[in-house]
Amino acid sequence: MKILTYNMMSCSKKQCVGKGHPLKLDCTESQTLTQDFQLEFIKNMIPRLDWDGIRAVAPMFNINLGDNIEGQLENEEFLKNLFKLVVNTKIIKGKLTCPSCNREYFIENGIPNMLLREDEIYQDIKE
Amino acid sequence: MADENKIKFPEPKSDRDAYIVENSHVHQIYDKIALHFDSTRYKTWPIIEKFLLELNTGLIGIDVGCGNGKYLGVNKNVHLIGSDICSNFAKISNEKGFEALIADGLLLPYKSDTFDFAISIAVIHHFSTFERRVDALREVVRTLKPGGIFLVTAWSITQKWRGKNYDHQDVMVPWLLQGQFSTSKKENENNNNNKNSTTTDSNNNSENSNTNSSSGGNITEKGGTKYEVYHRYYHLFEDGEFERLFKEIPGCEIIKNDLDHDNYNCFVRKK
Repeated sequence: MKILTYNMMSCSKKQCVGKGHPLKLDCTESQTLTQDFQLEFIKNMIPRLDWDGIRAVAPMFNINLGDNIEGQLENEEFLKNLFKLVVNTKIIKGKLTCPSCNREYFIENGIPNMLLREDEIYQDIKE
Repeated sequence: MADENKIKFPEPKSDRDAYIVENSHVHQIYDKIALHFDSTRYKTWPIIEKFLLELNTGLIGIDVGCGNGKYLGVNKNVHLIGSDICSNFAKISNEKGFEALIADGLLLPYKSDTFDFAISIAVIHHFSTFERRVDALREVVRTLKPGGIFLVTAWSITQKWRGKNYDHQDVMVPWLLQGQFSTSKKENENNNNNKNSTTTDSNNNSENSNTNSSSGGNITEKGGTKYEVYHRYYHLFEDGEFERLFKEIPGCEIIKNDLDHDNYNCFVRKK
């Protein structure tokens, strides 16, 4: 799972729609990918990012994006760092925790398992 | 005998019954046949490919029920996140270098009003009640941003192109699992070299099959090759069906719904 994917995610529970993000990320293994920098891609993608989620995880991967994001959207070094974080950083193993209900989801072999158990699904429907 | 394609399947009486049917007649089957499915599903449909290739650089979208991930790499200039309820499909897609999550289509792990586009190809027909089909579509619409486009496809009940004829909308469709892909039997290992015998849902005519309708693993013989037979549940779509489903979902509109090669291709825009 790339950080860009993580940035779009939320808790699977119906009761957490609108408040189950950003998920808290615990990363125990990550991988640096080598995709070539794409300026147009990153510029077009920027308005779609959830900056709270980006700020929360950048330091975990030693990527410094600075404090003033708005002022840097034309700064190529900033854009390269951002690209490195969201496109070229893949979480291999770790855990996602919902900020609302504290449900934990595990990431194994690069794949987050976001399925709920049967009793959790039908608990939501009864409520 | 072609009759086995026409097993009428009673609509589940409760949502939980439907969950159990889909689990045993869809999810578990796909998890078993995932590797074989992957070896037969490499061709992309032109309509879907065209839709993906026309997207602008930097857009972000989802593929709900991504299967073996054959659409995830079509356009390298967009970020497309695949998900499947079958962990083996998520694994296959991830190993190809694509983004893939394990997630339930009814409970998508994404923020609302987020994505520029979404696709769900040949997935919605695996939900076994009207309400669950509406819920699955509503869930995708929830994650789209206003103006976002959703392309959803389903098998139609008229199967002229495939040369089949179904009497009922709710049917079991067999998958003949080749021995080499089997995880449970070893006896077929000598019979797996004939590539031409790879038969799947869309092109097999199972007149030599001799099986009953249970969901899993009976051995059948065809052209000298032994297969394990698995039955997948399908709800085949009819004219007007997507229109009826989306009528239940406020805030979106069907732009276009075409029947092409026995598939409905429905384009929907979130308002």
